[in-house]
Amino acid sequence: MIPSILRPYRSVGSGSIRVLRSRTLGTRNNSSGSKQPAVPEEVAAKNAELRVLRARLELSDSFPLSLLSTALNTPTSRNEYMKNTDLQRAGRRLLDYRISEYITCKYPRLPTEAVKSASLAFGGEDTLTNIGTIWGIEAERSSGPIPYVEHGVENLGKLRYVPREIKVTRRVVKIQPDTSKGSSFKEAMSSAVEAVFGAVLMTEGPNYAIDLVDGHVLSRRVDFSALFQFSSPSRELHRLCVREGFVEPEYRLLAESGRHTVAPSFVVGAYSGPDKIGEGYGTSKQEARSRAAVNALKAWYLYSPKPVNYPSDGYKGEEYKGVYIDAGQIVV
Amino acid sequence: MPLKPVKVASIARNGYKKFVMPCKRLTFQYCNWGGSSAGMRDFISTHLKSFAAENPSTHFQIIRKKGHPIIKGEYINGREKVICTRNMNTREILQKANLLKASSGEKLSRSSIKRPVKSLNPSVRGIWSPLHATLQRPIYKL
Repeated sequence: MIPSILRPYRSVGSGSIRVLRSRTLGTRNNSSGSKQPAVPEEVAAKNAELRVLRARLELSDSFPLSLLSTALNTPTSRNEYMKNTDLQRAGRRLLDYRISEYITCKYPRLPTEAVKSASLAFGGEDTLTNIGTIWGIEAERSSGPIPYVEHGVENLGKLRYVPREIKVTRRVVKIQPDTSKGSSFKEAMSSAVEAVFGAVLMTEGPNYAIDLVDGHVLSRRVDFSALFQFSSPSRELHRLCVREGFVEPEYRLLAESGRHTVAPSFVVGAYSGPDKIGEGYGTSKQEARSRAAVNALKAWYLYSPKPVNYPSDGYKGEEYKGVYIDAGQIVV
Repeated sequence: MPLKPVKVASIARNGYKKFVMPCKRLTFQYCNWGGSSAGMRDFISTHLKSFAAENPSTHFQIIRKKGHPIIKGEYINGREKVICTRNMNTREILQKANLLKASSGEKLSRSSIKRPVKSLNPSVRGIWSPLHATLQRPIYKL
């Protein structure tokens, strides 16, 4: 006789969508043929931490707690419940879509390398781990080198994974049987956060999920001007002016102080014809000149159209007006 | 390559667009025998249920342990705050529980009290520069 807690759940609630969900997500066949049931809703409803997580994310009271519990069950965990693989994949796609859409529409001239590092700053492993910590997700205590599986209600609201690290205490070296199966805390936590986004996408639809990504991920501060460095800024600025048909850049000394002292300072402006396109300071004229070129280049690359239109606005029933598409990076 | 990407970190701005309660757990510890826990026992049996219902974003825990009663708050920045509530009545305990619930978890310091708001953005006005000041105002010949 299977204990009721391990039995696959067939239907929860009364709505037709829920019944459909329990068929598609409720049970999953893995390669070995054994079934991994989802946590029954009536069992998950008894867990206080899942309720708290739902409230902290401002999800509706009808949001299934069993789905949240599944999102926290990472593939390396040793219990027999359904893992978060599918939800994680959906959430990852949603994050990638929304983050790349946000960056490329907001800063259309941003170079490809800078777009990549900005995407990592918003949706990388470190950031998602931090978001999970803010949400209040904690790892279960039994996550450790010694297999200790608890089917109680109390662990359903915790992050469940097996750490990859081999723990070396004073004299005892605890070696895990199969190290390839473990995951790091950051991997587990970021997959759980991705899976929560995936679960919201599946349950509440794209509008709600995109709002959640905006609120928790894109609301974070990323300094876009610190995303790139130039090795030859004056040459690149010159090429840019030639390509765009501007007057070739000139550098003029605007102010200086203490030229013959130990602490000289110069202020140089980069001009294209009568227009000042950048300004820089430095302890030498050369340094001030390259800072002026960097300033002008960053002003070009960090152009942002106002208002910003996003393709996903189409989900909200708003008219999609198209976005600004740039000619691309300057080739030096 | 003329342009080098730089790895940057993103900084959380809790409260901008979405707010997540900084206090993630409140633990109430009491003793079933000790006289100093009388108020805490009373609080747990009468006030705690409604207090927890008012704060769904915080996880409430009750621990029975010998010794003086305490309230412990755990926060999203990884810190903990503990208040000993020995010989307090229910009203005082509720006040302390509210204090822990409303706290951000940051360590209390002189700067955090005097200047509680820290901006991540650079000044819109910029920093005053003597070199630019001479550029803007007319230069008088002596």
